[in-house]
Amino acid sequence: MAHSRALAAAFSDTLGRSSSASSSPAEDARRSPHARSMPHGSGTAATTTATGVRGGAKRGSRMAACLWLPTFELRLELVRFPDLDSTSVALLSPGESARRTLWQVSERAWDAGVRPGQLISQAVSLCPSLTLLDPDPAHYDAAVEAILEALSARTPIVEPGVERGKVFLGMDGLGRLYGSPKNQLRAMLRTLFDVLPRPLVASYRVGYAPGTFGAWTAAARATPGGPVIVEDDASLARFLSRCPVQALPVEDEMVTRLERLSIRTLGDLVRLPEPALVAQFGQDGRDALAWATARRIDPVRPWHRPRPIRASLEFADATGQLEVWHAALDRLVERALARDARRGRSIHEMRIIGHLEGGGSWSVDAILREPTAEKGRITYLLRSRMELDPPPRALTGLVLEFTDFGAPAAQSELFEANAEQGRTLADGKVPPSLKEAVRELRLRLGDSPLYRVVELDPWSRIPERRHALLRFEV
Amino acid sequence: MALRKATGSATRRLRRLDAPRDIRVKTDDAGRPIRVARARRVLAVDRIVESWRIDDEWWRSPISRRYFVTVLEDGAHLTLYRDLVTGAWYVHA
Repeated sequence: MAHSRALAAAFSDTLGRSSSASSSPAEDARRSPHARSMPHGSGTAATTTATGVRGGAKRGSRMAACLWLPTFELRLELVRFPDLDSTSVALLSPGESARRTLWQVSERAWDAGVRPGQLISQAVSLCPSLTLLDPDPAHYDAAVEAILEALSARTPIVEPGVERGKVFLGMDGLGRLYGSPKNQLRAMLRTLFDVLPRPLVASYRVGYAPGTFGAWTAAARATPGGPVIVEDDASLARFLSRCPVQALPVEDEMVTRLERLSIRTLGDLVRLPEPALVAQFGQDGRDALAWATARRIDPVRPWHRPRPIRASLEFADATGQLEVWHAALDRLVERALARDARRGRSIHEMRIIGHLEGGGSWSVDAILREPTAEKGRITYLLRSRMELDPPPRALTGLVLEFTDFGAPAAQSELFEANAEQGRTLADGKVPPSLKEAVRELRLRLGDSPLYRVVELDPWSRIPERRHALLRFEV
Repeated sequence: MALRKATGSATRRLRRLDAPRDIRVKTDDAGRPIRVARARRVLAVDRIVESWRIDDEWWRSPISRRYFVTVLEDGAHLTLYRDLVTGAWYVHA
């Protein structure tokens, strides 16, 4: 990652180091599990295809603040287990594989030569006293939710980064409430005291600038307790010119090539003609120039996330049997689908969280290509995900969350077998009530406007070829 | 299987489902939709849930589309695609 290098250069006093390090706002957008789109309303002229749409106010907040806590997950663990604070600690990478690697390491472990991305055996040989911790994603996600919730009370626009420890805040209009940018940032940090321990809040790095890229870059240059504030576009361009090219949210390869060409700062980059950059790097080159010159300002966008529907189940004894997990999943899906909050909505994204025996948690996300409320399809997907990425240990409990929803469930459910006597059409029998309705419509309108859906080529990649409407005749 | 144009009485009973319709779309620099004109309103694309490309039937009348499953600011889900042959945008109703 380009940013891992940026971080290494920018933060010498970071508590710990992370193998995934950090990501920029634009990278956040690309890597989001929810596949977020790029922020809208960029400063550069947007191209219009087909027939352009004019007008439309920019959404989001132009002035942005970025609150960033490096190695967020490791710090949370150290808060949970304070005894480990004075030891060498490393957090293992999420997921289960024969060759597990380190994800985040403490400063003490770093000093012993332990690095994120190393194999466990390598790390232990370098630092025999190293304490290895399994990640607990459910705990980290709960902390992030609490942070977002708390910050939402201060500003209406809160956008989480992909990295758990990073959050963007819309700052437009907050001057009237909190005063100067410095006071605004103070107010935001004060809010965090409600949900995080004081030392953790004190470790936050805070940046304030136009656009998310500017705010993130400012946060990356900030120190704990020493926010970096860039108040306008002209100052932003000057500020960015001093930043290393690693700050750009582009591929590593592009950064490496720039460095080989002795282009080390964004100031060096902006001296290059745009056609030359585009010729060398394509769209990435154009984007990089737009960011480096502060022509592109990505506003902070409001974060919409429906309230998830949760169903949970505790096992009497910890179990590691796949069959038991599957049976539990079936029950959880049934329960979650039966919730009132689910009615009229289909399911698009889901998450299974397992509580591991001996502490820690495990989770997997699943996205349905076509939202559905069919139990069979949902359980099939969840079971497959669980088999592909099984929990590393026995589970003491399972939680199912429906995290995103689609349009109302398909109308085929209207014709569910036994839903209502005489409504089943699967066997070709047309209920007398429907026959009568068709006859009446024909008498009134001259023709029946009723159709039924028939399959033509249900597996076609071209959607309009999959199904057709066939006039319903009796 | 392609639907042929309705001619006889039997085919008159058959109507396309999910037929694509023209739609006006504004895109960002990367060609992703950021606003769409729908029902006389211009709505911002809140997020792109998924995107994929289809290339098919190159041997007769090539089909080349870039699909975007989007969520609009009003919460509606919309499946859009750009016809990469003509450059026009369509929506699946």
